[in-house]
Amino acid sequence: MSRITRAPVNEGDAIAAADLNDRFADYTQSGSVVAGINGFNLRDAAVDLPQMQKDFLCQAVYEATLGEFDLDHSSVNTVNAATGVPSAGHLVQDFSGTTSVLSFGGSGKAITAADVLRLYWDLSVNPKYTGTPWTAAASFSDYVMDKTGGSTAQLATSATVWVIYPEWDITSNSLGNFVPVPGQGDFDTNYTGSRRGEALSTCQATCVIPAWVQIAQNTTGGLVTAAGLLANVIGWRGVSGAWHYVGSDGAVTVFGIRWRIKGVLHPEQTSSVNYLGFDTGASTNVSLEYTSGKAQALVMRVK
Amino acid sequence: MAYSPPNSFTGGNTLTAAALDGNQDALRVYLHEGVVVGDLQQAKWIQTRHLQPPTFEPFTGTQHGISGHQAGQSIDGESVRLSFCTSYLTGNGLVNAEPAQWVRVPNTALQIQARRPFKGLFHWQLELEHGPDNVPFTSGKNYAINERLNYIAPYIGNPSGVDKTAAQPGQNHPGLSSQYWDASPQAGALLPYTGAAAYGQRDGCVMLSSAASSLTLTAGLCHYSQIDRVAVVNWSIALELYYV
Repeated sequence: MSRITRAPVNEGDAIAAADLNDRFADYTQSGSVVAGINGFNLRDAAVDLPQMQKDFLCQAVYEATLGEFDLDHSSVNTVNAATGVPSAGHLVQDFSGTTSVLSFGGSGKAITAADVLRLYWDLSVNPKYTGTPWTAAASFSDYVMDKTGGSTAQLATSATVWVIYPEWDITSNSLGNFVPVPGQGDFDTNYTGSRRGEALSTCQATCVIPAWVQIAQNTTGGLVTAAGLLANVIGWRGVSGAWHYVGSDGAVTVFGIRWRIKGVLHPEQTSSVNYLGFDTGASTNVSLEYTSGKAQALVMRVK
Repeated sequence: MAYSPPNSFTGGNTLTAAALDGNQDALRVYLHEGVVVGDLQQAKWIQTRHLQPPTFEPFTGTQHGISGHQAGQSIDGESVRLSFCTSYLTGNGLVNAEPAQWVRVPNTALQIQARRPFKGLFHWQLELEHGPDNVPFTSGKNYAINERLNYIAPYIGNPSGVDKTAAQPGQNHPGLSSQYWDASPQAGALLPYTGAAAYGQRDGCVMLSSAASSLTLTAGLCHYSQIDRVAVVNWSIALELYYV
């Protein structure tokens, strides 16, 4: 920032109108010596590093390890597919069974109307199965294709998934009141018959993991062959998710966030609404292994 | 309180230089260092135009401003910069070569000069094709074909500081129904490669935080591979760092 400098008036100096005017002009936008009080000095460049408040934009950032790391997967956590609904699912935890929680400290972190909470997570997973779970009579994870020879074959839709979603506690640091974050349901909504799941509109914080993949090759005239049905495991992979909460939707104080796994589920439409619903019929010998991942939360001021 | 001249002048009295300078000096002091809270706008008033414009370095993709750094690099543009991971750099696929054998993924790093304590995030994304690697399995020497993995993890500083809990694996193509190669003609993977574990995206974050008044920060990606070659066909990294 520019600084006004002018020699002082000394005793005995004549009072000249021009000099007196210049002295006051120093504090106008068109000062004769320097443009001291102008837009650049008092507006555009008024704020510099020394004047920035602590945590001005990024108020807080948090990080936690989810699960537990094991490079060769000699130790893993295993989640079995739900055989019935409602399903409690599985909380992401370390190998000792301690739930992984992204803590916001004993006092929590207030998310005001001027803030936004940004949340990121990832996890190393390995969807597993044996046999062909999608061909079970109760499963709806398959297409029925005409096969050479006149019969039919069941081909996996390859849309069967596991889900991971976050739950937060906005009541106290005792962390005893976790609920799915806003925009996210718990996949226990009874949407038709005995089916449970969530509409896509309440899957806003859902991370999906494919359960298996199958293709049909060497089709003949649109007919599949038994030998042409080739399936494969998904294998170890990293999966990730992200979610945000705008404080203007309602001020809250967040104390912790944890993650829950459920599965397996499959897309389904009922009454013109798209759902992700449990396919408990495809649960036999179906599991999800996981090791570790990371979670980060960043609270930003946006107003 | 607002500026108040220490001297007031009365018509017909002698005007002294000391009195005049006193008023001017008080005004100068007030403007430069004495403006009190009550004379300033109390509401949150800082807008973009009030902040010093950041400096941007297009080659390195870094931007430094009053509130911190923004930086990003990606594979995009005409100068395609495919990258790779390979077991040839990370212990040649030998069993138990880890933990020492973590090496950088070429290109995928950013370095900035932080001038204040900061908080922030480092974001990364890779699109990889793992193998297929059908080097014969030898017990104790390398990993079984179906179990060979490639790990990607972010590091701060250098790969020796890799946070392995943030590592994300990818698996060698186990082959649909254990079929790997099209032998006649020898044209690569036999079956659709994207339909299996071997092809896909990995992405993640890592938290950045420092209480140092000044710091050279390097953030990038490293890998540990048991697969002979892994193509990185797309990648991007980004860094957001806020002074606190």
